[in-house]
Amino acid sequence: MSEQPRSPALNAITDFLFERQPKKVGWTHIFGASLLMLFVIQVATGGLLALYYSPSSENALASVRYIEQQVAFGSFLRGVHHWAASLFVIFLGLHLLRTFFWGAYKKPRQWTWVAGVLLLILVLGMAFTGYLLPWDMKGYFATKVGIEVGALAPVLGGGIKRILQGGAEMGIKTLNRFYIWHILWIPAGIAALIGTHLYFIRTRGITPPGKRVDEPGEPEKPFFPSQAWKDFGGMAAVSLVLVLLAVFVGAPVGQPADPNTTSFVPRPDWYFFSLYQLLRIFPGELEVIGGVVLPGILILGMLLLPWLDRNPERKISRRPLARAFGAVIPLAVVALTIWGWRSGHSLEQQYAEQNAAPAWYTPEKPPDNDLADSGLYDLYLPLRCGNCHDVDPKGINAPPSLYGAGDRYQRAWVVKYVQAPSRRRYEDKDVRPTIRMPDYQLTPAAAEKLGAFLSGETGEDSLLHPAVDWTVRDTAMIAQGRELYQKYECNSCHQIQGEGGEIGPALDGVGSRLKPDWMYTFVGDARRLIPDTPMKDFDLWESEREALTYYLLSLREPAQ
Amino acid sequence: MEKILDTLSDYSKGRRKLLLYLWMGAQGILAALILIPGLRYVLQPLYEKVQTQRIQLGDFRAVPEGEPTEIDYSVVRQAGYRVQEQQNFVYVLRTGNTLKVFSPVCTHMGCNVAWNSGSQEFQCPCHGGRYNKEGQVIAGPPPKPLHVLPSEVDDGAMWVTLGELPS
Repeated sequence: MSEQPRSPALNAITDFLFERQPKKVGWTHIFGASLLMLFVIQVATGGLLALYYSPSSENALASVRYIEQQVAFGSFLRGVHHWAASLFVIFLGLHLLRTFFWGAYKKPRQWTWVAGVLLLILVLGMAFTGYLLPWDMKGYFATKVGIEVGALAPVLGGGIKRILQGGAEMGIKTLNRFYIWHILWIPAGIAALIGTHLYFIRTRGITPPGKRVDEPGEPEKPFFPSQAWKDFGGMAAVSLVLVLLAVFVGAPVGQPADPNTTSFVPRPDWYFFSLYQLLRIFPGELEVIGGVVLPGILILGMLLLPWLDRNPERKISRRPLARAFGAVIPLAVVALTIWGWRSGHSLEQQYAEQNAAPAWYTPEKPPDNDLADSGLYDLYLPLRCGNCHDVDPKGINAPPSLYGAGDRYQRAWVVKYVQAPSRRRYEDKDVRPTIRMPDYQLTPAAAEKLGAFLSGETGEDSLLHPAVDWTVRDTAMIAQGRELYQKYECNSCHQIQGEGGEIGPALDGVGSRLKPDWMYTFVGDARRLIPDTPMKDFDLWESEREALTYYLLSLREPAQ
Repeated sequence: MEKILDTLSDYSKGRRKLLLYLWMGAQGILAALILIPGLRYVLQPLYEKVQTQRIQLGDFRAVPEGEPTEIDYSVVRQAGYRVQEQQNFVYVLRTGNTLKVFSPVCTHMGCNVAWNSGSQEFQCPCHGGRYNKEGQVIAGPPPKPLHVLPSEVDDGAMWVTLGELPS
């Protein structure tokens, strides 16, 4: 029987499947295949998301919301894209750790290792450039901080900052170039490095575990079927985790980026927590150490590792120095990641960490009568504020009643708000009126008058006045209130830091806005104050009301 | 590969060597013709000048004395191909007849600071930097005081000159 010549494609597949590899290769070698799969998933889902995404500061967030809410499976695909990035970082870290502990970076596989380290840098670059694309608060400020880290580089810092931003400040050009880096240049670099990495693996082979550099290899076995099934098993497990995360957790969508905000606390994704924490550890002029020097030394050390470590042994038990570094550095990164994850969640926490509490609630002095009168006659009446702000308390679908405004609002907040009014509730054409408070361009002096008048408008007969000294900051009660907030699922209707529902107003800064007695009354019996409110009736104990009020009082705006 | 190297070694002699150098030089010039404009294209942001603008911030006498006051302004700027109106703000500190205008940008990582009248300090939400009312660092990671912008009072009106903040 004459043998038919085989096609080159068939030859390549056969060569690949029956590639010889050391016998001891097993489950610890499955990360590479999963990484390849995750990269393909990232490219595929990214390409699909780009069909609907619009890279402009006006439309980016709207297009992301459109993908999330209206495009079939948009939310799922975005979730897959989001979580595949996290899994990519985890698996790349594991892959590098395995290579390190097996001494697989040693001769003749130095360049295979270097390609892997460069891949890690590019993957983190992908994550960083992907942040900004929704143009939401987190993306905007996390990117701003990231660019400032680049600006810390000696001599070149200013230039790096300008090139990353595309100009002197962040804007449309920053978004455009981050988008193109994210979808073209960095993925092209990753694809090239993966190709290089695979080429080196094919030509240099896989490291025989435990052998010295100068020792001959050990008996070999083909890749198929044993290792191939293990790789497929790993890929299946990763896919399952990815789908579950995409379905049950999804990818967050934040509030629109507001470059002028003074209260948003940006936090990066978990894989940048270690860097984030380093920035917090080194204050003042030392910031360059946390932002540039230490990460730079780590990356440079990793790149030069095959040439720095000349010990011919591969067994980790015979490499004491490598064992020490291999334990200390990953543990330090994990510890910094956990530290970063646990700290800096809020301004309150940040100041508590500095052993200095933020300014707490202080009762305001009674308004000056003349000032209040001029507020009424010079402003409230001529501006016809009463046309919208009825004196009858209503629900959420109308501008708030100003009857008893002095019992409800803190004067400092009113003074600030009337100078730059903003929508307090989420827009909803079907439910809430599209009208909004006009900006009367009030001067600070005029705002003081209006604030004085409104703060004198007391008279909520239904207001409760518990015997609590709200001026004392009770951290135990604040913690208890935070737990109650979660227990009663207040976040199903209210948002804090962009997380939660959109039925009620966001509670960021509520401690600077509302007076404690009013909040105490409202959380337990909301209809007592606003008869038509959709706020649920919670049957709270007095101590629970008190704790919740303390917690809300702790959600303060930095500027009052 | 060996075949290519053998062929190239033939070119290392005499007239062929000259031809090889000429060919390589021509290729180099052609590559530079594309690479140099490409590099300059990428580095464009380094060469862009920041527009300096003089903005009026309002009546000096209306500013409360001794406490930083936030003043909003809008400015028309060119951002790439787009000319747009940007809303922004500064903090103004009036002490007697002198005026100081602070940029709200934290010198640590570029977030906006807020004035807290209760604790009499500027506070940054990003990494907890704090400054006193003169803009000097009192706690947290900022390496420098808040930037003071060039300003003047002209016929009762406050003016500030906006440009690029130093890094």
